[in-house]
Parts: sequence; C-alpha cells; structure tokens
Amino acid sequence: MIRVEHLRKNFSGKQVLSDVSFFVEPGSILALVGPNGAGKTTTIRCITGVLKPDAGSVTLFGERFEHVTSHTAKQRIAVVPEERVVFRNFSGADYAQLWASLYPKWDDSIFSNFVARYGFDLSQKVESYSIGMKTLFLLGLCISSQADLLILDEPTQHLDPTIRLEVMSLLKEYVDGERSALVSSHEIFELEEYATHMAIIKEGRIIYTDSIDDAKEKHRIVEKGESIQDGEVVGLVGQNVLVKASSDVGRYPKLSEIVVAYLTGKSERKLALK
Amino acid sequence: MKEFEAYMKKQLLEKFPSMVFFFVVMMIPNYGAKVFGTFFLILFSVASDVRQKRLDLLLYLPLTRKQIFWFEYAFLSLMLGITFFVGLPFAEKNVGVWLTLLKSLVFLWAYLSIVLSAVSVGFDPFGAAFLFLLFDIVMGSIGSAKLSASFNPYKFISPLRQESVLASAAFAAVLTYASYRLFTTRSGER
Repeated sequence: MIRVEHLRKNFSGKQVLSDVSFFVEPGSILALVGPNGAGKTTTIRCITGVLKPDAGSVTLFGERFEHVTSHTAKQRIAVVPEERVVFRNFSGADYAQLWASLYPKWDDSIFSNFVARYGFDLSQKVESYSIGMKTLFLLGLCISSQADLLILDEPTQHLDPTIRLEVMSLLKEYVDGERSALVSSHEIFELEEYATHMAIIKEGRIIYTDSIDDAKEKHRIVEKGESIQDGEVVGLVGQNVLVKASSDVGRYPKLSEIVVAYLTGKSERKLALK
Repeated sequence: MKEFEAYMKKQLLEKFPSMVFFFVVMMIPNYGAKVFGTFFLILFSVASDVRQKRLDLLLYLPLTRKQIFWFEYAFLSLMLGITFFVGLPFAEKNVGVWLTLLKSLVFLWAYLSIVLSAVSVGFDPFGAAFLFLLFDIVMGSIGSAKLSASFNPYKFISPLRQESVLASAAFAAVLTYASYRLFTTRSGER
C-alpha cells in the first residue's frame, strides 16, 4: 500500500529526518510513535506531498509518488493534519461539498450518518467548532471519502473519552482487507487497542518497526533481580528491562513497554544500571 | 474540471470578502486601476494562503502542486477577464481597450510568478511582491526607451511600464516558466 524508504529531510541545515523507512500493508493500521520533534509530522508531510524530501522514496499503491498524478494517488489518500487549521469561511456543508467533488468514492450516506450521530451543525463555520469537534469532523470527512489510505495525525487528540473509543472502533471497522491507515500518535496506551503495526521514530530515524503481535512475540520484560541467559537488552521500563529474546524468560511486554524501552535507549539504560 | 471548480469555489468562498473592493476597482476601464486591483488580488489570493499556512490545506486534498499553480493563474485571469467585460460598456470603443486587457494580463502573470517563486523558495510573498514592485517602478522610470546614452532596455520588459507589450509578455512567460519549475520542484518550507 505504502512503502517509505530512507526518507531524509532537513530544514535550514537541521536534519529533521535522517532515515525513515517503513511499510504499511493493506488491511493494517500502522502507528508511527515517537516523542515530540521526532519527525512524525514531517514524515506525514513528505508522504502527502506537502514537503519534498531531500532523499529517499515514497511508493504509493505500487507507484513512485513523484510520478503519480492526483487522479491516481492523491484521490486514494485522505488526511487529518496535525494542526486543525481549516478554511475560514467554510461551513460544514461547504466542506462536505468540496470533499465530495474531489473524492470519487465519497459516500454521502456515511457522512450524513456521521453528522447525525455527533450532532454537527453543517450550516456553522467549521472554524468556529471546538478543537475536538474539528478533529471529529475531519475524521468524518476522511471516513466518508472512502479513501484507500487514511493518514491521521493525532486522531484522538482533544476528543472526549467515550468518543475516543467510538473513533477507535470506527477506524478498526474502516480498515478492512483493502484499506489501511497510518496513524501518528502519542497515545501509546490507546494504540494497542486498534493499531496492528508500529514504527518507532526517534530523532528522525525509525529505530524499530514490526507488527505489534510479532513485536510482543520477540520481546520479554525481565524484572529486577531476574537473570537473563541470552538476548539483547533493549531498554529500561521503570524498574524492568525489555530484552529481545525468543527464550522463555520474563513475561510478554505491552506495546507501551516496547515503545518506552526503545525510546529510553542505551544512555539512560547505562545510567540506571550503575 | 471538477478540481478546478472545487478550487474556484474554495477561492471565492474564502477570499471574496477581502477581494470584493479590488474587484470593483478593477471594473474601471483604465490600466492603472486594473494594475492596482490586480496587485492586491494577487496578495489576497495564494500569497495570503501561504502566510496563513493554508496552502498545506490544499496540498492535503487531492490536488497536486502543478494543478494549484495553473488553477491560480486561471482563477485570477478569469477574475481579471470578468471585471474587464463588466466594465467594457463604460470604456471607449477602440483598440486601446483590448490592449488594456492584454497589458493587465501580462502584469498579472509577471507579478503572480514573482509571488509564487518567492513562496517556493521560502520568502515572504508580501515582501517579495512589494520589493519587486519597488524595483519595477525604479528600474522602469530611469533612463530612456530610445537609443541614446541613457538607454534602458528594462523599460521594454517592465511588467508595469510595458514600453513593448510583446517584450513584456515574453518576460512574463519566462517568469511564469521559472516560477512553475520552482513551485513544482521545491516545497518552500518556512
């Protein structure tokens, strides 16, 4: 569906992306996780054509992105950007009309149900919606577009807890055998509920990518005092250590523990072990 | 065509309130009025989108940089054409009136190219437009268009002065090509 290889980008001499590579399979939700400033949003901006990467390649639906016209690729992608900036004078109805004219697979009935379910006033300017309502409205547009690939930057940010759960299940339903999603998020506890794959990004580099099930299978959490026979120490998770091992030691980790251990890295591990 | 209609609708909905005064000014069948209106129309169009970080909103939609570039030219040319034809019944009936339309279009294409080039390399589009206007006024006013010691060939290609409409049109075409290359190959992050 989408393959990103060795993406690099710098702004005024500052390297923001140094080596970003991952693959989103059809029918999967890939979570791009990492700390603030790690390069998640820049990666999304490069994939969607907002920014031109300095090096590397983006292959969408089997075609190199730079060779693909809007008809063949961009109509198959729907995006919720990080900054919920919207057109100032557009009402909800104007937005729906715009998206309907640009996305050939736009489904009006899905949009109408979404609007009714969450009580949007389509005559009101989207700019005047609360930040949470804007997020939800943009998600509604994406889902109604019936695009093959959803690219969502912090899709559950600013949402009420109950709506978050509904959005997560909506996303799981949306991604069937054909469609997929790339989600950038800080919400590592939530991601476990709906993501199928993950890519951990740190300082502009993907340091680990795998399916979540396989990642859990390949790692163990070893508690303080337990001995480690074999395996590679990845990082600390509180008082425990995450190791990459296939032997039956410790316990299987949660997604959040894998993410924390990879992001903690070597230097802090050394400090803690002193 | 659907994409262009969507783009037109977006620009009209978003920009009409700030552009309406300049539309009215541009209806005056006079080159000076059209140049004045066109200059501000450019500033309130894509330049203000970039300033307010709203160009990204278009790029997140199924629109390519190539499309946005040509749609912007087409949209502003259409606006210029419409205001020209609305004002036409009040203009003198001679060839000069059509020349005014041509000169205004040349001015639009040249200045829009400057703004889009500035956007592509990360400069402030407003600053670039006013700087080029200043340059154009100064360079276009010094020297003479006649072969003499003070001969200034810039007068011929100046998008504002246009001593030769043909030379200015050729210059605008070169600027358009350069800005197209810049706009479609560089993202101009700021």
